[in-house]
Amino acid sequence: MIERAITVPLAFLTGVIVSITLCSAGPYLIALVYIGKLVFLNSIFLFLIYNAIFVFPLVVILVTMSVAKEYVRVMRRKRKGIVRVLSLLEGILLIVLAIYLLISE
Amino acid sequence: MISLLSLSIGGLILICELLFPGLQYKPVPLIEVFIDGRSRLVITGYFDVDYLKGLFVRLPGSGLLVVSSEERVVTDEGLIAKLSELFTNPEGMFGEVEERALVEVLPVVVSYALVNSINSCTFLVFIVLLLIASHLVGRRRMGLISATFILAVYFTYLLIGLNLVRIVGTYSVVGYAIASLGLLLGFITVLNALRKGEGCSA
Repeated sequence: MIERAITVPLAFLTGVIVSITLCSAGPYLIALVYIGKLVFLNSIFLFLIYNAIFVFPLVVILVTMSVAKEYVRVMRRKRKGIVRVLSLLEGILLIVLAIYLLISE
Repeated sequence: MISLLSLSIGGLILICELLFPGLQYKPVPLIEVFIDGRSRLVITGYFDVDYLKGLFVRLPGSGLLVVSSEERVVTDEGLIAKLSELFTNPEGMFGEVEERALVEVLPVVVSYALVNSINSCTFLVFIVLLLIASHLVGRRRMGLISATFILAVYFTYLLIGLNLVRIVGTYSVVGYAIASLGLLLGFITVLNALRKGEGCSA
């Protein structure tokens, strides 16, 4: 049920809503003041760079997660014990991050 | 030459960074009181009239009194001068940038981007979303969904930059929903791992 609920359009919508509402925009607004004073083409160039840097850690995490998931898939066949520890760690990480997300606002 | 954002917003943010460094929410309303051409008092937030009148009576002899949830006196003359400049002419602070070349602005912008990229809510939401997706759907689907999220963030930020989309500036229900779902799945995973020796299978 939830599997079907997580779709590509929903992920896109989430990304958009998170971007226009969340608190991450402070440094961006200051940077915009500097960028806004440049010639239009240069400012476009800087926007592309800024946003590339902004999403870079997300890309790194995504790649790391993909590799880790493949690794876990291979490990699962071999050793159940390690997978158990990994699942436990992952669950705890998820809980800690979710709590942090809730209280940080 | 096209100015992409109302500069007074940048001025306001800079004032907040100087007065209240590290504060997540920008304090509004923000009032600065000048007496005899000198900046003497900064008030942010809502107070009753008697309290505000009292402030003028017990204004310190020198320095700048900053009133928010607490009261403190700023004595750094350089800071006071900068604040006065920002309050009277918010655009003046950035005026000198105009003549600068791209290479001079680049390091400033890149450092802001670095700070923003590591310490951000978007970062947290993404990790929680990714962990949720990794549990519920296959590896390929997880990649697709996450890439979509990243692209959405990228383009929305681009549109914000081009002043085509306004920032709403409130914390969204989406953030809470994702955090709650993450909490739930986290507990299920931990419980499953403890009981059966494996987490939510995907």
